[in-house]
Amino acid sequence: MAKFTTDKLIEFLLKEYTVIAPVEKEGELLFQKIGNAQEASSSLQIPKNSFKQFLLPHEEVLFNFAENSKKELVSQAIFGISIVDLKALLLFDQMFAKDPHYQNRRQNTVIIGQCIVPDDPKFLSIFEENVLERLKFDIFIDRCKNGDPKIFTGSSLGQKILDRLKFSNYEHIDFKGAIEGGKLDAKSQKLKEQIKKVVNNKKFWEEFAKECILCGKCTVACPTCYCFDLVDEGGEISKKQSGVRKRRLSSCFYEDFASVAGGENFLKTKAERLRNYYIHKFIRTPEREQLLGCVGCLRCFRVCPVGIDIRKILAAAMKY
Amino acid sequence: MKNPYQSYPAKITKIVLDAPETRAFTFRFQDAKRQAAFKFIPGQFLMAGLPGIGEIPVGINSPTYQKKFLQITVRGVGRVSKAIQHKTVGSILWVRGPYGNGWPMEKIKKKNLVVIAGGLGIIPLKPLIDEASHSDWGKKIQVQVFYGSRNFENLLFEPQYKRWNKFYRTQIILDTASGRWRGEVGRITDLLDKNQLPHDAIVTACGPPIMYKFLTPKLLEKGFKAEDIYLSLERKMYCAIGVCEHCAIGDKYVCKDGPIFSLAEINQMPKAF
Ligand SMILES: Cc1cc2nc3c(=O)[nH]c(=O)nc-3n(C[C@H](O)[C@H](O)[C@H](O)COP(=O)(O)OP(=O)(O)OC[C@H]3O[C@@H](n4cnc5c(N)ncnc54)[C@H](O)[C@@H]3O)c2cc1C
Ligand code: SF4
Ligand code: SF4
Ligand code: FES
Repeated sequence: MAKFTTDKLIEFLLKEYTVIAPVEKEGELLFQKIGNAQEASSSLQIPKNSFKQFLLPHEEVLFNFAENSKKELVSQAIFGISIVDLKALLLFDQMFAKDPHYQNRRQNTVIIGQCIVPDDPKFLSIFEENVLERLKFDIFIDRCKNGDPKIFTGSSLGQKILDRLKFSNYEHIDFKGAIEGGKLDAKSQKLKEQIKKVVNNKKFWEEFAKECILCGKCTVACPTCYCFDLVDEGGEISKKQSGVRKRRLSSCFYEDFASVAGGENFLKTKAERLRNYYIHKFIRTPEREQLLGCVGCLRCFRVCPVGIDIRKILAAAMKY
Repeated sequence: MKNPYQSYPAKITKIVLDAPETRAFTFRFQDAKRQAAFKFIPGQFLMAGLPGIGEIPVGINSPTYQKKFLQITVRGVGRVSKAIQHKTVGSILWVRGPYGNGWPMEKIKKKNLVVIAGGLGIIPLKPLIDEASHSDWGKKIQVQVFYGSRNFENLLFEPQYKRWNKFYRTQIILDTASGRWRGEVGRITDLLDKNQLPHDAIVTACGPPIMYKFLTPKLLEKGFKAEDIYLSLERKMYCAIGVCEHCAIGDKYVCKDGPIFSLAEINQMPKAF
């Protein structure tokens, strides 16, 4: 039996996969492609970006008008995903369950989780008992407690990888579904009801959106934001049909997100756009997906140039 | 896994200029099997477009019982809709669908029907009127059609009115009269005041937001229940399958749960600020 080290695991993965891991760069922690195990940071902080760009790239071709699109060859491992991001991953898996482009990438991605505590672990307190059986991962490394890391597997692929490395001291956890009993937990239910109470409260949203500069950084950073445009490019050349249809991630804070011909804009004001972001995460997603649309990572707050704080908005909504 | 973003080529077989900048395009899928298998519910829409330019949501206006072709009517208002105007017979349109819920047909068949259209809103209502005038259930119920248009030139589907009128009254009102017009002039709500309305009826309406603003209080005043008033909503759309989020209102997607909602449902939606 070999002793587990993350270096050995990463070196092994590098032989078969493109490996993505948190890297320290210019004082920041960012998920990116690495070339050797030493590049991976051992920090237990949440990287500024999430897994998002590796499973749902900013831009990708969905359809080719001229020929049958070939499947992109993907073989990647994302190392060091935190528990909050694993929760966001569950939501992505659900939203894109019928999307062959996402699924192709997802099914060819090894997920290696890590016990990482978000900046404010009390916010939305994500560390329920037995949280691992409600998450999807291949391997999970718990180094949060002193001593040797505890290793878990969540799939047969994870087991196979560890077996090949002769790390046999792991515990296997079967996925028991994203939520207990298939129903939204009481806390999320409560949040949903509270946001419903302030939905038509114009003052509430105007107050919180006052400083917003509509830059869209929050939506780029958020691991549960996936809104997109479809963009057709290329086109007919001398009667021959050609061109591609692309998905391009967009932001509900942008002017053209809900504007239509004739001058109408269904998300006209800053207040309406901020409200829409909260309706999506705290009403629409819970109602339809039985999952909270926010995992409490606080990236939206960390990147916001004017400091709009989700904790304050939720706390204010809880008072109604 | 099926690619939900794939469109299919369809050949334009006929183009009719029906109103200024507004053309009816008849087309059929190049794949005969796809054409033969195509089924839809009145009120559903398609995503139609041109490669490299984009696609837009458009209502289907051909009858449900027409298996040989489909028809859409497009007004040139922006990039994609104007590009479609320039197409000629024999050109290829790229189409996917049908999408959306359609009018509540089961409910309609058991009651009377009031159809209210404003401007282009007549488009998704036409297959409903066609089906009512072509089926057994349509003969058993009372149907009233109200159609408001800016002016005479903008009226759509004129050759159809005679046939519709054989089955039920079609009342038209124009915002402004022109020389030839001898009919009503005013707002569509005026027609509701001037006519005997069938009772125990479902209302199906499609028109611009401003029409709904005046129409819904009037319908409630006339005794129609919010659960029986159905409106087709317009929103920006890209995916048409409830993922891209552009068309969302509250916990609903207009593309997937709509575009048709009852007034009772609409009353539950977040209000515009
Ligand atoms: C369910 C539904 C059915 C419709 N049926 C018809 C119809 O039968 N005939 C018809 O002429 N028009 C119809 N429309 C409106 C039509 O889709 C818009 O006029 C068209 O999308 C304008 O696109 P554009 O590229 O020409 O304009 P631009 O202003 O250049 O559009 C820019 C972008 O915004 C989107 N967009 C702009 N306006 C709208 C809009 N009103 N609704 C949705 N997306 C929009 C376009 O898809 C495009 O991606 C319908 C709209 C909806 C939602
Ligand atoms: S805390 Fe902010 S960034 Fe993180 S999931 Fe929630 S909304 Fe998104
Ligand atoms: S990051 Fe802040 S300022 Fe930028 S759009 Fe989001 S809330 Fe507004
Ligand atoms: S058009 Fe994409 S969600 Fe409705």
